[in-house]
Amino acid sequence: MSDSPSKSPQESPYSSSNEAVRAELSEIDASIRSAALFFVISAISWLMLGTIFALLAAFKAHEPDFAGTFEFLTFGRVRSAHLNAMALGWGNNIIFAVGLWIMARLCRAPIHHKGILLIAGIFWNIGLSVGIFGILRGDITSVEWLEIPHYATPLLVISYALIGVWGVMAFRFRKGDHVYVSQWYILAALFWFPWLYVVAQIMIIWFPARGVVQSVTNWWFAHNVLGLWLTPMALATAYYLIPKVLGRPIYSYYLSVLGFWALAIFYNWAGVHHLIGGPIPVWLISAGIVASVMMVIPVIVVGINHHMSVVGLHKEVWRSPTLRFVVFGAISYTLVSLIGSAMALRTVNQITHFTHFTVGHAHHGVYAFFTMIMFGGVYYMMPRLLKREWPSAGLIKIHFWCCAIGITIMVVALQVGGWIQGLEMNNAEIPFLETVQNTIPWLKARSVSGIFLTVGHVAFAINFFWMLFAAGAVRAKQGPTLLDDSKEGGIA
Amino acid sequence: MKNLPLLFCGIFFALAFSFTGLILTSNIQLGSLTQTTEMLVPSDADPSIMVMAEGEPLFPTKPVGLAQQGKEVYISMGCMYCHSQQVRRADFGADIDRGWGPRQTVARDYILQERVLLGTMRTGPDLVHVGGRPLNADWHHLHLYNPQITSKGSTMPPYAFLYETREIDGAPATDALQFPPNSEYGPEPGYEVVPTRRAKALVEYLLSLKINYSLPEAPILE
Amino acid sequence: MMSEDEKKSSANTVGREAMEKAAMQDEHMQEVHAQLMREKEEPHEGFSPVPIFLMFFFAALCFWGGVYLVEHSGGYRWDAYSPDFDPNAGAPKPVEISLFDRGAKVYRNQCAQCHQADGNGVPGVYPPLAGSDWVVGHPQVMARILINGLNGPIVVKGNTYNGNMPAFGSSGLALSEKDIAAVITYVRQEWGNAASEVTEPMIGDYSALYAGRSTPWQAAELKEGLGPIPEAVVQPVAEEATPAAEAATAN
Repeated sequence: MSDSPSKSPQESPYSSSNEAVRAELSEIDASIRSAALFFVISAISWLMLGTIFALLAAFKAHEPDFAGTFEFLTFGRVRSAHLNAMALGWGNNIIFAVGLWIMARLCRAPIHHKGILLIAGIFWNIGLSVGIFGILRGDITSVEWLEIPHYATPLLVISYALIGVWGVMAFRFRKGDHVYVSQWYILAALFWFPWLYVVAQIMIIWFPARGVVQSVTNWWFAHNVLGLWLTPMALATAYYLIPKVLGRPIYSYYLSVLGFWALAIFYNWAGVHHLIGGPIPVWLISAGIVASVMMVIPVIVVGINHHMSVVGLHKEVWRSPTLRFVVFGAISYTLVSLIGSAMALRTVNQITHFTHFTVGHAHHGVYAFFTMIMFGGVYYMMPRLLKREWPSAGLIKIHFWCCAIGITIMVVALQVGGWIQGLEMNNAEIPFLETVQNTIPWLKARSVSGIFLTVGHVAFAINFFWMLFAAGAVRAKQGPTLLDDSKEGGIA
Repeated sequence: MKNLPLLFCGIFFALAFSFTGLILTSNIQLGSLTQTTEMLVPSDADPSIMVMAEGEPLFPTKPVGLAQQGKEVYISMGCMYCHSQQVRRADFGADIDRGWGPRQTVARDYILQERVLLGTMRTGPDLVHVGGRPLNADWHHLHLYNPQITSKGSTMPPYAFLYETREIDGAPATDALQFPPNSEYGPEPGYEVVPTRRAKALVEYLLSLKINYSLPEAPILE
Repeated sequence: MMSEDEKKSSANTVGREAMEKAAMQDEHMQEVHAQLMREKEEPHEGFSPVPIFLMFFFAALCFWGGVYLVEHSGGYRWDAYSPDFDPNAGAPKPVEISLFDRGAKVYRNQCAQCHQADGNGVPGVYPPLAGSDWVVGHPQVMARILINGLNGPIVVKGNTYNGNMPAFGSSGLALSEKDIAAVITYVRQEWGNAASEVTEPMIGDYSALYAGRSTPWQAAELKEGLGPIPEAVVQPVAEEATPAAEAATAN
């Protein structure tokens, strides 16, 4: 695996400037087209369903009688259906589409046997549908992030194995010596996720561990779903799209290396910070706190690396639908992670723990960071897969602004409201019911933010299906869809 | 990065490290905890070793019968998404001051639970000691049927579907809910609201949640 | 680095033109569609060095992490639950607080759910304690209610209530005698109530007296057979208490 020093720039494995490379990319895009399309359509369907669950849960949180008192729509079940539809439905499907596509492209390896990938994808979504139906029916496990009942999980595990293996296979048959930073992240995440999921299933559901060992496993798993699955996939997407759209190298290889290994080492110890003050030995908690604070290292490193790569090109970022979303997500990553490190400190956690602050933080991470970057990934990938342009720049703008404003309102409302809630809850002089009622205005603001997000998602879905079932006018559209009317040629 | 074996090893050991450190180690430390007496006494053979006092009851105890079934209802309703089941130590938060429990809960309190429901939200109050608070079954039934009856302004959802409203046949049922006079939430005259088996089990479970015993590592300070 | 990049980008332009021409003829290349044609090259990395101050900052952070772990890990013991765990320290001593303050705490946790934090109860459901004759009268009345519970209709401040108060004695929710004494003291002296203190030994005596009783009290029997008010607590305050209580009732 040594570098051949005599290579000319033309043959550089990561240059797509020559014909052969473009032809190869075209072949790769074609090889993954049907499966990726299926995953994107599934992801958007789950996103819409998850949005409906989210609205129900948000309104029920301040209007307990909202939408009637049906057993299958009780708050505990709807919020869990929302979480699983978003994490495993929207999140995983979009990862399967964007992640595998980026992996195949960077490896220069077309996906073979795409039929298996497609069938596994269908079974993943069947398993998930059964699981979410089970949650609403009352077979919910009441284990956070693992609510899917036991009869649906084996199907999820098997279909995941058949999907994830294509990423590994692409890597196995890659061309070229250099392995780009996105490939490290995707490869690692494809390997980490099944380990986390299977261990958590075994130790909590199938053969329950004794007492609070379950809780430690639960938060090791749940936090790592974010840290070792969604985060690396989103970072890989950002690392691919920022230089790809701007045509400029990533700032520093050394920062990429440091950021990757610091994330790998520190993130997976951090989950215990969800149990600060809880009934587990204090050394476990202290280990979680230190790891959470250490996350400052990869976050600053990645932040600098991304920032230096786009610096000076803000106009291009603003014009490109892809980068507008990706850069919003990348900025959110820095913010949410630094807040997360602070929340792990005992003095802060004493206030924020058990409050809506944590809910705000979770949405800050999974939505403002992960989901926004994945929206950007879809905006870049679809024109390549469909060989068509996005029909409406206006809808993209609506999508962006509704999501950006919506998520900002949500995070601010829940974190300000949660902070007040925490301060009041720690003052035993204030009756508990009063602390509950004081959160209601903030929860109403959260519902308003939910309406914004819904509008954004609908705009996104309309634009997507319009493109998919395009009429002649859309099909004939020339040139990229950009968010700015200036004459200069652009990138999308 | 070109050294691929290193990449693979790194990816593997990064997670293996935390898996060993957090999961396996805590399983070794806590997985063999057993019931014990409230206080330990010096052993007869060797006074430097503390042993369980003979003849004393063992704690924690396992919920039995209807209460055990009630936990299934608690799980299926997703109660734990708003109600935690843990008490933090006295100088951390106001858990003990709020009467959520007489002492901090520790690992041993949970060893007999097949599913541990520590929870991470307190949209509602902590419930680990709710059975030790002055709320009887009547109160819990009214509260579950519609929280507005007992806690006006609460955001807890009503669980009226766990109750059956039926016409009074002869004498009112002994387990019918006793609504406050002129309550706007009560049934029509001639009707009564009775708990289903699930509601009774759930209330039984709530009443069984009590931290009314000491443990050697977590004594109740009086 | 830079010169190589520049070379590469000029090669790109030439390459692209050649390719566009080729695409017209080459069958294979016709699949290379417009979206792909305008793509920039596949990403790669520059090699800018890591700022040195960052390395110092990260080193400092790692040092802090090590110190924190050593200081706050309770010796890695399974039974250490506080970051300041000290295995050599004896059992912590409970803080002594006055009977009234203790009662305030007990009231908040045990009573306020029904009788409300302001002692006014809920109209029609839970009777008020503020300004209630039952509360500020003979201390044995309150002791009886707390120890065995109360059942059935009772008239408080002119309104009838018909409820069920649980027993807090050893047969019921098992509050300690000290807590019962504290909470009675609290309700007798809060919200304008100004009756005498009720001490732990008094509750001890009453508890012994009513240990055998298994049924809750009825309002009618509460004021029957009261013993003398224990001498230790007959205080001049009790004299002034009645007008104050009446004033509260009038409000």
